[in-house]
Amino acid sequence: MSQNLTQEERQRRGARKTALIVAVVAFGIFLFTIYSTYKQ
Amino acid sequence: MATTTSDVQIDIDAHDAHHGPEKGLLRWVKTTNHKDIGTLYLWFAFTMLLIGGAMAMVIRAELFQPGLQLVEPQFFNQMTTLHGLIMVFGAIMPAFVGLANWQIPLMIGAPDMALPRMNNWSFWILPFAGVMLLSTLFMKGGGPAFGWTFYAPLSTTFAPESTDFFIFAIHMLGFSSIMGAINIIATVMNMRAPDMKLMDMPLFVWTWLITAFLLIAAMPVLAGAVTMMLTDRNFGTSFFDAAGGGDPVMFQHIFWFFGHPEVYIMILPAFGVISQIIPTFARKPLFGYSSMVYATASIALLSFVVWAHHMFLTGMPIAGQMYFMYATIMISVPTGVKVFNWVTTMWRGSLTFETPMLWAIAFVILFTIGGFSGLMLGIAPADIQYHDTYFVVAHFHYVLVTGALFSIIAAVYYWLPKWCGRMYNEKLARIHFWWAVISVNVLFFPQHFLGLAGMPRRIPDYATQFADFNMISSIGGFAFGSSFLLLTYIIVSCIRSGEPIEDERVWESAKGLEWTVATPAPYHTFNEPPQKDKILSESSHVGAH
Amino acid sequence: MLSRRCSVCSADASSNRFIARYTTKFKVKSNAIASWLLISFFFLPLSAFADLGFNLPKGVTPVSQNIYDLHMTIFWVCVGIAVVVFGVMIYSIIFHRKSRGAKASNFHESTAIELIWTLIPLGILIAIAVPATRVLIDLENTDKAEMTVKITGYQWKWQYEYLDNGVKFFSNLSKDSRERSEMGKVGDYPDHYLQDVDNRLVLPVNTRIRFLMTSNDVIHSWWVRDLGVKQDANPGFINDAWATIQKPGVYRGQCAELCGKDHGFMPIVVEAKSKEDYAAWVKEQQAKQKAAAAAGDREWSKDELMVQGQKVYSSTCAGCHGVTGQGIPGTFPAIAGSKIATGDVKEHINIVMNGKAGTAMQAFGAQLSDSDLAAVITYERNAFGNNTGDLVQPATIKAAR
Ligand code: HEM
Ligand SMILES: [Cu+2]
Ligand SMILES: [Cu+2]
Repeated sequence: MSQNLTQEERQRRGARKTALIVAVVAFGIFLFTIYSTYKQ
Repeated sequence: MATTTSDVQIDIDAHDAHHGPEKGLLRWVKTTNHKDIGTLYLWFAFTMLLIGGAMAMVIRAELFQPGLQLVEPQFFNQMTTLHGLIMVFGAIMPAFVGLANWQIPLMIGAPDMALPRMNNWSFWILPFAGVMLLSTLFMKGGGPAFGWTFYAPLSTTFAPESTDFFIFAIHMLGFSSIMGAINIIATVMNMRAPDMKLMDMPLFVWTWLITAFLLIAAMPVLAGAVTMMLTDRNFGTSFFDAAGGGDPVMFQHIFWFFGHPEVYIMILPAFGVISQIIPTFARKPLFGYSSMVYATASIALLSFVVWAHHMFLTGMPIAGQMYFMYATIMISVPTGVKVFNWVTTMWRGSLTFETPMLWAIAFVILFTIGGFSGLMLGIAPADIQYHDTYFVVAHFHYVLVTGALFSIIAAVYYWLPKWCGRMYNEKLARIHFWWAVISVNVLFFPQHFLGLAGMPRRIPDYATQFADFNMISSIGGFAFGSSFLLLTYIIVSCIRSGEPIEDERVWESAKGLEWTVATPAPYHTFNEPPQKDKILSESSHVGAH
Repeated sequence: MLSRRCSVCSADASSNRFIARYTTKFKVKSNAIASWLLISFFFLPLSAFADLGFNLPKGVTPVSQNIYDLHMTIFWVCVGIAVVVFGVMIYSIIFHRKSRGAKASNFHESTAIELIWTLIPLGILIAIAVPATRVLIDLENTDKAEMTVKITGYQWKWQYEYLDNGVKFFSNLSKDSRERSEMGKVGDYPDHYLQDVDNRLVLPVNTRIRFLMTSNDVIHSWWVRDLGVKQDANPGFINDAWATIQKPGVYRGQCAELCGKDHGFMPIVVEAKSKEDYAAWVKEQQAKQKAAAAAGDREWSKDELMVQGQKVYSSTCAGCHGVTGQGIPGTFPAIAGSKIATGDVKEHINIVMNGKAGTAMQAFGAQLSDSDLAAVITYERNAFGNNTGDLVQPATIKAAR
């Protein structure tokens, strides 16, 4: 059981990292959209 | 395949007894459980479906005959606008997220979504956004009346004051979608049972993973578009105002760069659902699993390079028209592959026609009809005659109603018994199916003729030569609309008093990890990840070895 | 209700037939057969009743005819694919069902098959793309035009300017259509309901015509199916399109891009005449325009102003302020009893000529002649119970410019 918990904990840590990267990408796309329209 | 209650499940059941759901209403406000949140999403989507459907009834009632009988043109335009927005952002998308919440952890052997607290947030933003969007109807000057595509400058310089609230609502809806997508990506990438490889995943999970990436790439573009509208309206910028050096056509480019992927966001999970259901009732593994995955991925990639097929008439240079025409019709190739694979899955199977299968078959046929009209629309010179007519309206309702919505209904019939441990009334469900599938065709098929005969979309009143098909279409519309009352009854009575089921598998030949947990699905599942042999024997795409 | 117009009687017959088909469908045991009937039934009418409002018309320009042929080609390709795909599906639904004792086989992969059904559709697409490209290139043929018409979209009417001879006018929804489309009206529909205008766009046949489209406010789209022309009119930008009309006649269309409240009420009527008749028409228009300009230089009587004013009001103002001057509460102010129409004349002239920023009220000073402005303002001040007795003369308007 405890071994599995660390396994799940490991997974969740990885998941948070993935989520952060994806969120940053999304925000980047948002900024890029406005920036590129502004430049036309 | 025999169904046995494994040790793992006994363990889970015992566990469940200690950590069941909280009691009372607060359970739903505070919940971080993927099943609770899935349920919330699905009920929200269903509510919005009924509200958006009521607006459609207003539209069809006004169009029942020529002349203005019920609503003024300005209000009619508010109805078409809000109908579109609510169905897209309030009904179809949240319904698929709800299915993802329920099913993805169950299908990949994970105990829950990766980020359960954020999951709670992404749901609870939705009702506020929905109420804000609807509240614009009661504001001075009325709600948004510029179509769900809100082209500038009709939506900027010429729009009612409530537009700023519309913009805020879109921001919130987008935020919710992005958070939902982040959660799905993190869950699928990191939370799978350790022994499940990507290519072991059921297709529903695959299609949702790809959809989540589409959401991440598309929703921020939408957010950018409405942000620029906001500053154009209130802070003196002129992104889309020719008088200030901007370009209204630029708005359309940005909108459709979001908009075309958006339509695939609404159909890829549907492909996933159908790919789960057909093998179950054909008693045969899905044909061409890996080609299905590749086809989905290539549809997703292509969907970012075809956006201007919505803009052939904006004054695009001929080279642009050619490119977007070729790219668009290319999408039919992977789309065709999917249809061929489904048909071949049925070929030499041992078919039965339980309700989910009926909906899946209707999906394949009717979605394909929508694909044909899509192909026709993609031919740039022909689109001169089709664009902005009822032919387009027919096209997207075939792909979205008999496509996306039908798949959601199929999914609910398929998984509801697992979720609540009770069976729906099969006889009523069949009546509902035939009622809906006939009326939906009476509703939308004549709209092809109307478009070809020259009726533009988004008009509250029309010339008399369009009268007959409009009346037929409206009659179909009322019949289809009322079928949802029956659906409501079927679902509610199933949940409250359906015949209890004990069998884990529910459907005799269903495969997938979700069918290995107890019925009804316990509050907590897969605290212990499933093992390799189980994952393999439950994969619907590998033959019964 | 189902058979009101002769042109649809026969369409009716077939629509009744399809309702009948639906009813018999309930009796069909096999889901499969029923679905199949449904499909084939729906495809039938398209080809069988090509000219009964089921299908595109061929139109009267080379472009519209090319588009029509292309449309039929793609349509039949789709039907062909549908027959094969749905045929296979129906076959297996009928013969591979468990109730017939079908045993499931277990095949689930074949690279060869996947390859085949990627390549065949690809081939079909290329076969469609070739004629499509040809039509597209033909369509964008920008050879020298023999005449040019500039089309400007307004909320909610069209303005036509003949750049070669100076003729210029607005084209509005016809009066009887406008009146029939008031909320709650019942009774017969006028001929060409909602597809009729006060001033038609008159064009010569067998002449290569260039259209320039632009807009004064939001995006509109100028569409006449029989000419094979649909092109967006964007504010601040100019698009073009070409047409050579081969047959004299009257061709009707309407705005195709949502442009606000009265988007459904801005029709287009093209009248194609022989070259001689067209030349005569141009002369007539030029004379009329001269007369109208001259009319601005004299005193008008009250009756004259009221008659002309009512005409202008119903074509230009009634769309928003209503045929009876009641407006739409909360959206468009009433003229009847309004502060402006019964108050200071200067204010009234000012708002009509310069519009009101941030609202749908346009600057009509740029659209109407002195005499039309004088007439419509006089009319507004004396109709709908606004009995101010004020007269506004064209000279006053001229001075206000
Ligand atoms: C074979 C695949 C498809 C092709 C080639 C295709 C092509 C097109 C084209 C060219 C248009 C623009 C028509 C016009 O405005 O003149 C269009 C409109 C539309 N399509 Fe598709 N389509 C396909 C599949 C789909 C799918 C799967 C969906 C959604 C699930 C979809 C949803 C829509 C919507 C919502 C519109 C109308 C947008 C609007 O103007 O409001 N299409 N399609
Ligand atoms: Cu698209
Ligand atoms: Cu319009």
